[in-house]
Amino acid sequence: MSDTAQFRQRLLEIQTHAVGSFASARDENELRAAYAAVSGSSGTLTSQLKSLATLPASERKEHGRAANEAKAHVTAAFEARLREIAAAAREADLAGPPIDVSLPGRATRPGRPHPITATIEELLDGFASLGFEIAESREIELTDFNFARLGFPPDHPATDMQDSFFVKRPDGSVDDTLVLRTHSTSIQVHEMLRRKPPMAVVTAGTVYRRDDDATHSPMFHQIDGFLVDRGVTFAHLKGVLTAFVHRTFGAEVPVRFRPSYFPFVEPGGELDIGCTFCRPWVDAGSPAQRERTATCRTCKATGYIEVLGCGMIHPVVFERCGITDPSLTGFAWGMGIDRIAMLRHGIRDIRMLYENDMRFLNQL
Amino acid sequence: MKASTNWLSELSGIEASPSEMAERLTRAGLEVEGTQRFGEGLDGVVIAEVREKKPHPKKDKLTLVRVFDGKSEVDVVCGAPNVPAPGGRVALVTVGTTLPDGMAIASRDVAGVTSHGMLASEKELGIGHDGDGILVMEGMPRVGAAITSALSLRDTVLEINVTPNRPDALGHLGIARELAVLFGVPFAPRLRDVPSRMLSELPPPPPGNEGMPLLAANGSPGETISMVAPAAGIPLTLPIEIHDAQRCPRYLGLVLHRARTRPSPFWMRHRLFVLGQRSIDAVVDATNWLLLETGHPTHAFDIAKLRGGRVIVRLAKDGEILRTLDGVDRKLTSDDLVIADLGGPIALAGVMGGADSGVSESTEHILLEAAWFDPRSVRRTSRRHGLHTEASHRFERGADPSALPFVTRRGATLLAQVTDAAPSPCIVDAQARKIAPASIAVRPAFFADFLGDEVPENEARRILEALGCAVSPGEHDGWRVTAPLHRPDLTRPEDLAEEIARVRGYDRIPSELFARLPDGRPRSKRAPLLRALRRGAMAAGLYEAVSFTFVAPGDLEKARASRDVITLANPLSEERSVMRTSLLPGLLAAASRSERHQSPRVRLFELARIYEPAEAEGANAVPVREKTRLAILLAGPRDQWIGERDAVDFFDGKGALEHALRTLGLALATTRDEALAKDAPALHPRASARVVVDGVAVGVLGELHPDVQEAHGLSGRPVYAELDADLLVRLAEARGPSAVSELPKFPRMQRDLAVVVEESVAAAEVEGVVRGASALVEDVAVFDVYRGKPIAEGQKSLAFRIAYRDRDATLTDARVESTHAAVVAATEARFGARLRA
Repeated sequence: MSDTAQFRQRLLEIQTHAVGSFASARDENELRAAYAAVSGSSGTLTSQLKSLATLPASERKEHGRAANEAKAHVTAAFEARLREIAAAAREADLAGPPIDVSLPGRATRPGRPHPITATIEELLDGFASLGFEIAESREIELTDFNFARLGFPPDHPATDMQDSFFVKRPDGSVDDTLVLRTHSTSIQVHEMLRRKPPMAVVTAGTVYRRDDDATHSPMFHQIDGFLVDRGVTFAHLKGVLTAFVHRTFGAEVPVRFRPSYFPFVEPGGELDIGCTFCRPWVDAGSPAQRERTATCRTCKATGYIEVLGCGMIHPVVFERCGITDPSLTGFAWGMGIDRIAMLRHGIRDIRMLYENDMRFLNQL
Repeated sequence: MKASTNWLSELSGIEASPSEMAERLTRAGLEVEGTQRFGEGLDGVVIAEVREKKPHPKKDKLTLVRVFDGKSEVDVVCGAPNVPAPGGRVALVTVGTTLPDGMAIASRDVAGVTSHGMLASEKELGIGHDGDGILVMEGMPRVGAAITSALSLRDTVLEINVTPNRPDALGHLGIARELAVLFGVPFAPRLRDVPSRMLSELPPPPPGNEGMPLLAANGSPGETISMVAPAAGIPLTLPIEIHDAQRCPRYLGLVLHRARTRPSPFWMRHRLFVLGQRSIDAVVDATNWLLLETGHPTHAFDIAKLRGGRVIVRLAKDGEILRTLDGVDRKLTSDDLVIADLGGPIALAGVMGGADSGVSESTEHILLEAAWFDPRSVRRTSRRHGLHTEASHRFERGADPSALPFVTRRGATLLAQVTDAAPSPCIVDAQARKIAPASIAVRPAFFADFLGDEVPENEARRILEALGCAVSPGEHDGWRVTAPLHRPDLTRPEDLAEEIARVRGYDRIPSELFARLPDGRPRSKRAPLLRALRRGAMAAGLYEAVSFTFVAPGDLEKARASRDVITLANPLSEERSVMRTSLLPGLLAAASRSERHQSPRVRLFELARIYEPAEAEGANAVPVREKTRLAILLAGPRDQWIGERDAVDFFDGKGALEHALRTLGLALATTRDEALAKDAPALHPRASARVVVDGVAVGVLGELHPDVQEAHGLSGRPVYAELDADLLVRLAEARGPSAVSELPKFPRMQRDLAVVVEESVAAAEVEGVVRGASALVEDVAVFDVYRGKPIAEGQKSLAFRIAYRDRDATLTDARVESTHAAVVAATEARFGARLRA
């Protein structure tokens, strides 16, 4: 047999053997090994191609074409078999038993906000959307700012050691000039001294009173705000606070204003909203609604819950905060956060709010 | 304040239902917080007349009573000691009745005798406190009548939350006046203030005092008054000296002779009962009635016990002792106003009487005090001695000085009626100072301008006058409004506006949005940035904590926090006596709690304030600095999938912080320095770091120091960080929104580098050298740290994946190879690092 014939014969053998070994490969790894045995750097076909160089130049061209055809054939066979195997693997995967979907998920669990701050954010947003700017002020406050400038008469019970926490001066002396603020209303004093009208400010924060039981915590939270400008009337107080309630609690929730008393407002009032738990306005008057309201623990069957205190800013507050222009009027309001947070989450004991028990926080 | 609706109806003439009264009062600012009904469930109880009584044949404590119930005679067995003689009227609970306390009455056998019903006590009927004997009726109520109607037992009591500005509503008369205004009817209570008896001798007023005739000039004619001879040796008037006109402007004293301290009549006892007051005796009950009726406290002294024949209103001397009615010896101060006789203090003015001078069973002759005391003085004395009484409650808020003569006359009338006492015809009226009513100038148009509501002028006037104000013309076509003395809260035009608004109803005022509200855009980004920081912490898997800001000094010590603290002057307990200087104690407490409850997975953050003493700078400053801090605490197992168990460590904390700060657009680095151990004593000295953002140290991060961890009973390797949130906010504000660069057009090439370095070499140092070695280095990331064979002890292998990119051209293999070789050379040069095979 001539060299030429031998070369051709060898190519054919390699090609046949390769296609056979591809067919008998059972998975992708075996197939790739078989392919490497043919076309790898020391594969049979590769060696054969290298041997082209030993042929006379006259034969090289023709044999070269034959060799390349063989290589193309082998590669095509390999790729076809690869697709076959992939398709079979896909079939097998699809036909296999299902995974245990009941096992837990594998992802980072995001945390949750504290109910107090979540409530604060929501309420602040309600007022911010109405045009009130969010501000902050100090918790350790001058008694002057906390009481006197807000119109508390001297010897008012709130100014007593019984009801408020007083703070020692850094040298250890006690002179009743420093107090843990008993309400966030003190923001009014700071902002009135600092700003020019129109003033529209809202704040939220930690406040303190000397109470400690299931419904009173010595530390709790309030949100307070006020508006001062020319021509502000009681009708505006009603309008702005009603808009706040409707944005925050829903436009269908009824609002009721009734007179009350706080030293820093005159006239003073309280705002009640329709109970958002028994929702007396839904199917009002029906037996189901009456039953719902009569048994409601949240509003104690009254159909209303008290949410905030409000009123026209007392002239004495203006006087003591350096606002002398008699054409300026304003209104102010304040509300407790803790009770609203407790209502929202069905928390019965206020102390749970401050224990930071992971088992509690996890449920939020 | 409890108010009987029966009493309110009697005084005001208004016959509205209790619920209607409650609704109107609430809408006008006297919030009715609850109602209580009395006299229910007594339908089967009738008035019966005793016909016959004899001892029980077997039991000597029982009595067999035959009573007539209006239709027939019934035999009942009674265990009470006070069955009246035949003709007496008793309350018969008929067979088949169930009493309010649940007791069902049936015919039953009592030691061989059948009892067809029960004779009941006040207590059993739920109409009084007396359970010692059966109810025996005074007078001659109709036999067979239902007891509820015969004794007027049905009543509804309103529990009214009277705000401190409304002392006038602390008596039924004041609430009745309010109701009359609200229902738009004239208020003209017909309360008898002419006693049925009086002493027959008219004394002159004592020297130095004014006298006032007991009979008011407008007293109803035709009253029959029995004249009673004075008791021998008992004065008809007592002189009154006021030594402090500021604290006691006026003091009225009336002498009454021959009072009988017997039980008060049922109608009086019953009304006191529904209002929650225990009946004592006729004298005390009458003064209590007077208080609940007029809202004005009075006091009765036993004249026999007064020493020196005069009453002195003065300040106490420091250290003087007074035993008050509650039996407590009170050490007085020179800020306490007292009523005294020549022997010493006999009452704490406006707060509580003295034990030795008060009325008792043996009292015969009384001095009735009706006075006005300064609210601030009463408030201070009441607080100082921890004595909050019905009297102090009213004086603190401001009693009505103009009511004193009426209150005295009304007191005399009640005492004469229920104790048979005979008052002196002369009231001693010591007046040291006049209290002028407030006079308010107001334009009628002010009401509409201020309320934003149309208020007709005549309606405003009508309301103010109905409330007791006098409206007269003032300057500039305005009004001059004189407020009644029973409304000390009315001093300014705004106060009058409130009256008009609340009487008309707040609901009548329109609701209007303010047209010139600003846009509410924050001047600073602080609030939204703090909010973003919280969001970031939550996204990092942390739950928000809110801890008490006051802690125990020991908590700070255990957490190795600064003990240069702000201290409370009057903490509720040592546990909450100082303001925290770190957020660590609060989070540690929460972690300990979790550990104790077998739920060791702790993922907490708190964004809140700490408090440090500081110099007070400038006017209105406080000597405190409040700083906002972000703290995180992770403890317990890392969040891995089933079967994997690993405790969190430093790098979990670092990851959480990176995550949180990323929401502010900030990136952090962690470094170590000499001062770290001193600045973060609560952290593990080896596994802690300073947190640096944009070259500024913002806080510390680390695993807890084993001692701190052990002191709080925590397992694993809890990680804590505390950062200065104020600073983070400033850094984020300074940085502004991130600028974005154009995306690269040319591909990048990656090469790995593993170098063996000394243990002390930080990965970041190697990374820095790599980055510095060529401008083509785009990214360097550690992907492996290896210690152990074949690496020598004290060394470690760090593996980095380095990304190379030329932003202006495609990198050729050759260029990457030469650059990478330069990088390798640089690390070798710097660390003596050798490449790891």
